[in-house]
Amino acid sequence: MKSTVLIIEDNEQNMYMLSYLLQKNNYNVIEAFNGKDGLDLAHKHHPEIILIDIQLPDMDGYEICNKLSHNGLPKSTVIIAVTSYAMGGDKEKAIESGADGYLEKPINPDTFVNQMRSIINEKGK
Amino acid sequence: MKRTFNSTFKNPIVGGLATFAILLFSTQYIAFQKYLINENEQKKEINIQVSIIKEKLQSLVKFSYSATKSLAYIVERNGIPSDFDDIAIELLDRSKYFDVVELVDANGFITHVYPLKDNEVIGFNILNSIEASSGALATIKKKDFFIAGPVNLKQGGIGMISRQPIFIDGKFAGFSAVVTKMSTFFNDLNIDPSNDNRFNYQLSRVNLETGKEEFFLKNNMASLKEYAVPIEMDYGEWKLYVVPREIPFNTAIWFSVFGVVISILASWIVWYFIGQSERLNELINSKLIEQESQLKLIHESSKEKIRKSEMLYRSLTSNAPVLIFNTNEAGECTYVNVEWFNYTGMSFEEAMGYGWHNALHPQDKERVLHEWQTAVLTKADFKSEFRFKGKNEKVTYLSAKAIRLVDVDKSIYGYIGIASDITDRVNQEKELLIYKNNLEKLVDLRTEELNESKEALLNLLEDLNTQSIKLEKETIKAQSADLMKSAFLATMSHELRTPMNSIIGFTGILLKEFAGPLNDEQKKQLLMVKNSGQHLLGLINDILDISKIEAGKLNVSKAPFNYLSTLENTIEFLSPQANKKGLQIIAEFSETKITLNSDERRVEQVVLNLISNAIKFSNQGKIIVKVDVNKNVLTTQIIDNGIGISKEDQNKLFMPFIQLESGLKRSHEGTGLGLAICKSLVEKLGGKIQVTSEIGKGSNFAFTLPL
Repeated sequence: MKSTVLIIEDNEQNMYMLSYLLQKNNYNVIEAFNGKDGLDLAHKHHPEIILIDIQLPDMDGYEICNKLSHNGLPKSTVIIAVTSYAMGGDKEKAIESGADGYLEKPINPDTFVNQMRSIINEKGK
Repeated sequence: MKRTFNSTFKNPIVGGLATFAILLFSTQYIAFQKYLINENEQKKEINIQVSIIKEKLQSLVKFSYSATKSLAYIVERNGIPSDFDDIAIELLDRSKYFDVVELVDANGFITHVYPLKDNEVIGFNILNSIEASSGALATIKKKDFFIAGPVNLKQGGIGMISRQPIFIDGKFAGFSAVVTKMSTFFNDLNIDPSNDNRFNYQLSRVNLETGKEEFFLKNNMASLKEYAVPIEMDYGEWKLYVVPREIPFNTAIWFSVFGVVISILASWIVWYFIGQSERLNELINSKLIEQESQLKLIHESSKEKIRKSEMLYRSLTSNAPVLIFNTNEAGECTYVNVEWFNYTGMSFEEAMGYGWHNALHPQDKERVLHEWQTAVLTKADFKSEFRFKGKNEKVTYLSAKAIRLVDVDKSIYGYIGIASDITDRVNQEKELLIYKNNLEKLVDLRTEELNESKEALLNLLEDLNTQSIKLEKETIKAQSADLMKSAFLATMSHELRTPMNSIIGFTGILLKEFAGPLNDEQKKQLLMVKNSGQHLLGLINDILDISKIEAGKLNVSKAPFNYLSTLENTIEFLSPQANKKGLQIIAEFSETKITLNSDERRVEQVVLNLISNAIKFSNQGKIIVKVDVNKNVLTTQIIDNGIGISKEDQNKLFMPFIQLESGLKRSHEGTGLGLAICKSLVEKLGGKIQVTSEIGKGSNFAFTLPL
């Protein structure tokens, strides 16, 4: 049974990269290019994992984290914020907003999936 | 007297008893009246009964008279009738209480009886019967109708016998008689529905011969003499007893009991409340006494305080080296101190009221008086300077001030004032004035001279002003340019990083060979792209950092972390790079574990930068990473055996955009921002960074952080 990942990311190239990487690692991928679509798709498909880019055009990524973590999704859903380097305080803010963990951009294809899995395992405990 | 009365009534026991007595008396009186009324009503009822029965008896007697008369008349006219029985039946019909009809002959023998049954009395001589004879004899004697009884009847029971003498041709020929059994009569009364069976009856008659009371009914009512009522009837002295079957309960007794209870209750309440108010009074009194004594204490202590303060005031005023005076609200002097006498030579009495103004210098007198009166009238403070002229003609200058004395209710009740001797000051001022006048003359002379050179100076100043405005404009320009540069760099770095993410990311993905295998040459070239990308990203991040630092927007967030493991990770990360150049990184830690409360990422950045520099600028030897803790200060040193830095260069080392060998031979890549960033970061985290170095021998970069 493949796990489903919802990626909320506005940059097309980044979306493609994440999507490709995850599909190659045997995940189902749902793509949302803005916050509103992201929220709709999350409620529609109940993905196991949600990756959220913190900088989105229509909505603050923290706001999405907050809405997702409080709004009727299964408790097992893992919410991961994808933050940019050098934005001090981003990680703490992400965790406060309800994210289970964070990953940093630029992503390292060698380690990205493992880092994601370790966040999922951490939550599983 | 009134007090005694009041206090007597305030005594709870007396009050309670009085209430009890008054209430008990009044309730019992009412109860008694009620009792009498009830009693009376019963008597009335009995009287009604008596009169009803009397009437019935009288009518019975009348009927008996007429019945016997009728029979006697028949016998007198026609002799003994042959149809006696028919006549008797007709007579018995006249009253339901007639039991028997008899005829008796002149000798006293009963000759005819109807009905015969149960009345076997024919031939019986009534004159021989003790009971019957007296009545019979009376009838004969009187030759008139007479009622005998009570008589014990032959047929049983007690009866009343009505006898009518019969005279034939004027000669006594016997009786006609009717017997009435009285029990029937009284039973009938009881059956009467209007009577409710509420009474028992007895009828008596006094025997004329024996004077004894004889009874018609066999019951024990005869003993209840109090119920006997004499009734007016012919043929003797009759008494009727109407005795209530149940002696009715007089409800007034309940009222009496109720009255007693109420009296007890009310007196208890009075007792309780008087007692309560007395207790309350006692409490209030004791509190009042307590407060009074407290007040007394307070009063005494404040009196003592007042006395002390008075003493202080007196000793202060009398010994003060100034003139002190006191006035009432009308401005009349009431007190002056000793010093005042010294100055004026006046006596106490002379100074009092408005007498003090005689001490004023004649030239000041009018003005000061006016000032003083104005102050008093407008209720304002007083302040003035004037002269006193003493009795010894000595003139003194005084500065006086008087302030209002205000009562608790804010009304003014006087003034207290002080005047001090300012004669010396006035004299000095006079001298100064002379000096001043001289000086002014001198100054005027000099001013003219100066005016000439002033113009020359003004020209010079104008020139200077233009220059300074120019400078100011340039400074502002430079400052805004600096800010704009920082903002531009921050935006640009951010914009630059987005495509960098793609470049590095996709290179990485390609190298993972998801899309298919790569040949060695492709791999080598892609690795070059990836390394260049990462290098470029490093540069961009440096620029972003420095622009943030310059714009003052660099923020750090502190959290505890394991410093030594961070350090080890960094060393591990950089070791391949070092090994490539034949260098070795050695860790020398004084502790086994150090928990640092700081910004882990930023600390890591500093360490990474310093070790990278050490690798970059070393070609041989070791790189030592040394960690010490001393008095809550963590010191980290990165020591290399590299090319070293000259003394002059060490000063410029931490300035941004400076690479020491700039321009000449760029053998070392880098933005030249690393150390400037390190310095800013370390300082932002509360530490210091410094370098010691010698050309050709190596460098030691040390930074501290608070634990």
